[in-house]
Amino acid sequence: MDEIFGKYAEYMALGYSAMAVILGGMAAWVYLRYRQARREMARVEHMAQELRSER
Amino acid sequence: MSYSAQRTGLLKGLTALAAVLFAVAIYLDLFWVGPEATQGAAQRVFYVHLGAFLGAFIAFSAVVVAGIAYLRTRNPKWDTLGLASVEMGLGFSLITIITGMTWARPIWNTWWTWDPRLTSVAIMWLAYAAYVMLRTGIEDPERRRRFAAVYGIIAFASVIFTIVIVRVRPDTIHPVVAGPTQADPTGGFEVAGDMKTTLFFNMITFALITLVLVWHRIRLENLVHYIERRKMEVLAELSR
Repeated sequence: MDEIFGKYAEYMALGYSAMAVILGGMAAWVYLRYRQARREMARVEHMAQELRSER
Repeated sequence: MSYSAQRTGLLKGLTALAAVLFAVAIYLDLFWVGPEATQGAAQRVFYVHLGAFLGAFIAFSAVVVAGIAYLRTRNPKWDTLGLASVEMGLGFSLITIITGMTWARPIWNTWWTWDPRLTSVAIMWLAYAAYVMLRTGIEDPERRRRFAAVYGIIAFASVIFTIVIVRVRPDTIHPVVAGPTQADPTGGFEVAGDMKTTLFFNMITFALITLVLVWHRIRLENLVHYIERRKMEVLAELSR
């Protein structure tokens, strides 16, 4: 790896991997919570619909 | 809850653009720009290190704007901006800290040292982590928003301190890329040529990623608030 990137390439790889994990984690956290919220909204709307049809 | 198609389209476009710019930035960092003469490949983390710090700076600056705007208008949308910005700023400053550590290990021969700059950035991170923890402890929404606005404005002192300290303390070993230092009072930019191009490209990319992530986080928070309101409406209907 040192021949391609220069010396200390393993530390560079470690830094970029850490950055990818954190940035990916931030994006995934927002995406997964958004998806979960959309599902919850669908449940609430379904409940409201049932309530309306019952009355 | 429906967002305007125009705004959703703009956010989608910006998200795609940020992803493309990020891929190009990584290519520039790892393959296009050459290694630094003495630091080798370890120096390559500097591009994302500085880019991520810019992202954190933008996010924490937005917290100040949101705090002032909230205290003036009492509009909860500013509190949402503040919270979203703090969360994203924490992520970006964590990237700054971790990438700095991976650079420091081969160059300083240690992962961490209590250098003034490193200590100040650790304090900055903890100050904003406390923002997230403390606001969850306040039940009353109005009081929580007011507290968060004031705290967000005051916490920005730690960001200024982190930027300034490396320029006024002569005993720091942290390198300074731009601006005046004790050693070079006139200031200057040590990075030149391809490195400068790569650095600026990374900074623009991280600025855009920050904007996109904060926007997505705001949408999420708005949706969560909407669901809470709808639940209350349905419960009220049930009890009638």
